[in-house]
Amino acid sequence: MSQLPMLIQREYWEHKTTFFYLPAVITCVAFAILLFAALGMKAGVIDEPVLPNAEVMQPADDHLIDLGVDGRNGMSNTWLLQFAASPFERRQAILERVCLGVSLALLPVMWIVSFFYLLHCLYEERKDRSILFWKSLPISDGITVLTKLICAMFLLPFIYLVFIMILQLGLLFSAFVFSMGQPVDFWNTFWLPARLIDRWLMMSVYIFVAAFWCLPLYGWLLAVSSWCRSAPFAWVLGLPILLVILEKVFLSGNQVSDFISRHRFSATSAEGMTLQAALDRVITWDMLAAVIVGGMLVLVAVWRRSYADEI
Amino acid sequence: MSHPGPVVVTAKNIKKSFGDFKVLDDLSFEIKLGAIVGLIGPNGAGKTTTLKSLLGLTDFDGGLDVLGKDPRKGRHEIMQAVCFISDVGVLPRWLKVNQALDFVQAIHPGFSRDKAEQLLAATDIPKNKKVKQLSKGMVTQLHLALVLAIQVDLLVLDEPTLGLDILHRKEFYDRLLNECADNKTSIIISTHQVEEIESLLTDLLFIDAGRIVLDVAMNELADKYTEVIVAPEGLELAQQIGPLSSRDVAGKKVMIFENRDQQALARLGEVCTPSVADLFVAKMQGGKGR
Repeated sequence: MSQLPMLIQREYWEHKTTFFYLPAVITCVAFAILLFAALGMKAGVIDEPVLPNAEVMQPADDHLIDLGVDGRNGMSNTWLLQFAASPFERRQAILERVCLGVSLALLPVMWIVSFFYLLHCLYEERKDRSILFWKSLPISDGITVLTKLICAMFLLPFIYLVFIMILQLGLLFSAFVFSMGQPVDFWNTFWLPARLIDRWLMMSVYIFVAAFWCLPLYGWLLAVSSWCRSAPFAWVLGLPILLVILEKVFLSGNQVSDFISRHRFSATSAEGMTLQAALDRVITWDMLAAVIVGGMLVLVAVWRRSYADEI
Repeated sequence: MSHPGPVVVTAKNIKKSFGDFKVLDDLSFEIKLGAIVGLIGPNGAGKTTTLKSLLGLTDFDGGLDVLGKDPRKGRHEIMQAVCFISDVGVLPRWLKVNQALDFVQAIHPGFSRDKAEQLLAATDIPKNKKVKQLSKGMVTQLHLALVLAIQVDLLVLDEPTLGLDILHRKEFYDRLLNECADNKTSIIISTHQVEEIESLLTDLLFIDAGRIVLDVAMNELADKYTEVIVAPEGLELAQQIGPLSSRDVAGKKVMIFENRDQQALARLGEVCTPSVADLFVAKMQGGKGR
């Protein structure tokens, strides 16, 4: 176990491009777009967005703000003022959607990265023969596979979470730039209803829940990676599709397809993120099944790795 | 083999086949402590499979004991005391030289960072470069530096100098010998370039079609094998004595004899000990003839 930190470091060295540079570049580009949009709207070059729900436009009785025309730049930021005047809950709901929206710049990328990372991690080392080097060192197959799993379950999501945090801060910074010089209190209008700290804590909990919830998928990717001799992508998709078809034709059931679609990557984060929704999943038969099925697939990967040779 | 001392590797009746094709066919041999064994055989003879079996990198039937352990069960434990260099292509291409040092240092309890740095300092390898940016010779130097900086009991080398030019091959073996001469490391090495390692070896293992065809200590070679440049008048007698092989060199018959009376052979012509390469060819041809 004392080898684990260096083994994780090794994964990071090998995959620095997709683990770090890719989310960093996406975050920078997305932040630049947000900032330019804010500056553009401020300067009147870009049209202001239409708020998603017409009722939001109705100022709340208890939160009336002076809807006066901005004296300094002579431009009326009606959207901003209406937003600021809407009830706290409405602003919270809108910012919730916008924050989720910006995280979608990174989340699907993370799913794709972890999918191919796991699918290739035990396959490429056999193909490029570097397995002969790794296996010439006193590292057990169990800890090797465990390292890959830990990277996909926790390291990668937490790195991407940090970039999501940065991007959400960038979003609020853009909102701050947009609201500068306007009769709007940034703190009350944007920061408080955005509930960023709550959101980040919640996402951290979600990463833990999702790690175990998606274990069958992680395990399946590792198992295929450890065992197939060519075309891992075809195997990893082909076999489950075949299984679903066979079940449909011969057993007229859809248990397998249900299980697969329930435990896919996006299953835990596309829905509204509430702590309750996350915790509700933890003690369920479905979670137990996920851990058992996933755990068995991981063991298959460890067992295959012990016989693995160059291909 | 007559090399004295305890045994580090014992292989008993190792078998492995792919379908009908027997890769290893009842292989038995021993490696003694401190021995430098040359595993010599033609392509497809089973050299790499034999070495991979020792390292727990492939499955097989039969009994194999490496430093008191079965490599099928405890590969990562055996690797505390065994190191392996295959041909140049196995170092991961994305790894930087200093990362390789950091990694092995953290993973291997027997690794000496100082020694590795010292070995690398004698080369032109830049520390911040990736393996894929190094030349073939440099990759081998790097791998050798990493491996020689680990205190091990057994070193397994599978065609370690394949694809290298003669200068790098020579340097590789010189360094290997320098580092391993003063300690108790046993080495098993497979190669095609027999002539280059002949002087290092203490023992010879010839392998053909998955079987050991010769297992002899180098210091017994002269007693067992005799090469004779047979004079024309001795040809008939020579055929009667029964050579292992016979070949024409510059118009003369050169024969190799196995376990024959040296004094009787001396009467046939000029006598010497065959080179490993000639003996290898003789053994392979002898095997085909039988």
